[in-house]
Amino acid sequence: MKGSGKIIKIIGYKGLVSVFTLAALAFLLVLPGAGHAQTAMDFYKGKTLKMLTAGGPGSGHDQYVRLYAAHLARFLPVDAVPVENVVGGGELIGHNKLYESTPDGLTIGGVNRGMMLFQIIGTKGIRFDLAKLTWLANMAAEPRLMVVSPKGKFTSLDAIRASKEFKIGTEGAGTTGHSDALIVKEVTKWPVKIVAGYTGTTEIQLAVVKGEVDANIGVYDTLYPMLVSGDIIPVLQMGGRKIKGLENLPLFKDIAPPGYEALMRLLDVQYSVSRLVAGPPGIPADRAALLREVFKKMAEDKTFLEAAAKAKRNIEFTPGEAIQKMMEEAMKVSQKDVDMLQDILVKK
Amino acid sequence: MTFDIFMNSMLSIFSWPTFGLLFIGVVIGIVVGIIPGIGGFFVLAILIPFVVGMDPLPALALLLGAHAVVDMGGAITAVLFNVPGTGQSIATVFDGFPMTQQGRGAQGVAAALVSSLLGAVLGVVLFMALIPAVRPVILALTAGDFFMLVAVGIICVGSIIGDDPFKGLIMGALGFLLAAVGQDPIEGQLRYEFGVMYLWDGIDIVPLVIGLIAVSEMIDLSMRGGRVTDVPPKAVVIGRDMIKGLFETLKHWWLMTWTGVMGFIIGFIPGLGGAAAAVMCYGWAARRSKDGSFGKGNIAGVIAPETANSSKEAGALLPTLAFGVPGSGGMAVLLGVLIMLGIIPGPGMFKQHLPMTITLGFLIAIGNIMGAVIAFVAVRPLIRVTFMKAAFLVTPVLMFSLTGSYQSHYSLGDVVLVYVFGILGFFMKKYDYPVPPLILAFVLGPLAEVNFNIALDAYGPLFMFQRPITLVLTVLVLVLGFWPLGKFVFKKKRTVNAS
Repeated sequence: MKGSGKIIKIIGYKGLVSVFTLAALAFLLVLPGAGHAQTAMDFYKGKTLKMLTAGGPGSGHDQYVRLYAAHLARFLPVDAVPVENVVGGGELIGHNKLYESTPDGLTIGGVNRGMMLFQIIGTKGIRFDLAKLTWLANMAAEPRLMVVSPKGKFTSLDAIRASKEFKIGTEGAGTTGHSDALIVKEVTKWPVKIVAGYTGTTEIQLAVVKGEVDANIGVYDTLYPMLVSGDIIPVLQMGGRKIKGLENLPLFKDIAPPGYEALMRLLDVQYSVSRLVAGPPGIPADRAALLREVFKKMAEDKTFLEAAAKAKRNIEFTPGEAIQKMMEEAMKVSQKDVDMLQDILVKK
Repeated sequence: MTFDIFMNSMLSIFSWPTFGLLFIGVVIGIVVGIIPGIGGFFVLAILIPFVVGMDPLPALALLLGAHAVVDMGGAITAVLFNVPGTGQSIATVFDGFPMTQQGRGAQGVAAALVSSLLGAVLGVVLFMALIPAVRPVILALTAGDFFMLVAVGIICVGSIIGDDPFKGLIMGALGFLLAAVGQDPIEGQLRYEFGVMYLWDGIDIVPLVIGLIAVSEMIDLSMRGGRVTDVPPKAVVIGRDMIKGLFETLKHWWLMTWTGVMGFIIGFIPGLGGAAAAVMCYGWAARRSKDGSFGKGNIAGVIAPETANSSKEAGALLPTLAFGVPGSGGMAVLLGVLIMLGIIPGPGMFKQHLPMTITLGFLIAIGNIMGAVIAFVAVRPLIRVTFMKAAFLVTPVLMFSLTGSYQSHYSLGDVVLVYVFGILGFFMKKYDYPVPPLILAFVLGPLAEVNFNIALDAYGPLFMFQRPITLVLTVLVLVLGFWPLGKFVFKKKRTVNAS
């Protein structure tokens, strides 16, 4: 107390107020800068990072998210990374929950690429905006192929064009395969007849082999066993990067007539990403940057890649920043294209 | 297939660590099966991380051992507590639990274990026999045939409607209605979702069955007090009753053969599943029964579904190996593991990988033998629990039922449904509305809908006349459907002539 009295005598009350004000200002100025390098990492110390997935236990989305969750704690000082399956509503409930979760960087999750088309056509029940999510990474690219039976009538695109009826099997409305079939029908004007109701894409492949339907559009990884056995052959790649060994296969955009450029661009984006990771809109920039860095490091990490390879999960990383730009661009669809997509996917 | 390959494949299972892992898998499978709500799909999902990096044979011994006996564990709680441990044990409760109520729980459990074991062995025998012709056989069956097979099951609803046909038919209709909730599988239109997003994916069988059957029973038991069975514990000798149940089951060898073959065929049809195998074979057995004792503790009502859901395991393995098309949800997970272990399904599984294919068959058979022996020895304390007072039984059974139904999808909506169906089931029980027709319609309704649609779109409105197999099945459906009417007319004519 005596000391403080001396100081007051020396600098006076006004001087003391000035000193405190300057100190407070300096503290405020220094605090964000000093914390920037430290805070994002420190923020996660001892905390729980929750990962959401809209897929049910054991589904492809669930397995990818659990794979990240098992390795994230090696890159962040978090206590635990629990996975929560938020199922139901054709995966909309899970995506809505991710979008509406607190943007503190402690809740992130997997996003299904099929949600892009659902949002554009204004599917009932959607409360999220993909363009506003904080995109952290894309961990895989799973191209989609149209396959036919080598013993069937349609082993080339010319044969399909010349046909009177070309049956494509699907799992039913609301699935990516069904949307693909509807888009193929609209864009190519082939005489496509959709046979819907199969319980899985492998079941449709079997129907192709039996000759019950002529074609199936599915993910390359799922088609792989039958492609290897020669029971099915590919005739078209729906989009994205060309698959190694199938470079001669035409891309869907290559055979699309003029007038569908915007749709083809959208499909190309959709098919070049597959296992997307995002957080809700508004995660503080430093934490978002750190999480993006963490996923980048994980995608290059030997232990993680070995675990992914053993689980037959192909990792093909795209940085979060690139996905952020890609999504913001992709979701800017003109009303004309929205109408066209609604016409193809909803009204038909 | 030479004898050497056959023997070497079988003997490879007895090598270390394969045999030890098979044993561990079987124990895990039985324990998981006893916990309601979580089935074969779940047990594989939790075991997969442990097999990463293992050699294919020990890894598959652990996984297939666990998956093959899950339904055996599920049957135990189905018989003793009216709680089907897995979705595939749903039909086992219809006669299994009345047996327990009559003090014949040990016989019921023995019947379930023996028929599961023999069903699995029969399935493996059929699996081996079909290996040379597996691909043509699988390719020969189409959606039209699947629809007709399901139609046979639906016709059997008439045999399990109980004493009051009106109430039975109402329950059948309610089953179809509940199965229709959610997005329709063809056009994606929402049906009866009442603006609730949770219902978009439809009602899952686990909360429906646990609520309608297990929770309603516990509500009833807690209200009336007493015990599950009114037979005094001293009047029951568990060991003797189990042996009695074993021999009683063996007497039904013809029923086991029939339902074993049916279960195997349903198993290798992708998309139909074990629950369909169990309820269809239960309906079939009920139709063959002439004394009206089904649903009242008839041991055949335990034998038929248990044989079928066990023999379907080997059946479901066939398309998984031949085409990479899983015959069930569990097989879908197993398919992923096969690929992960470097075994690519396809024609090669019956040529260069033939020893592995045969070994997989033996793993199912030997796993089931192990499972039956373990369960036979370990089930006694559980049978004794049925003699406990309701006050001690209701809380743990409810707790397991609720956690089990939550764990199947990690959804709180499922827990709410368990309560809703529990209350509904209680009133159904009170006013004598039978559960079996509801369950059968709930399981088979969606299968009939999608397969009819596929057949119609792929083959046209005359699909039933286009292929010989479909035509034969159509005739069978017509005969089964009109048989009671024909019998009635014939009987009336004879009476008129006689008078």
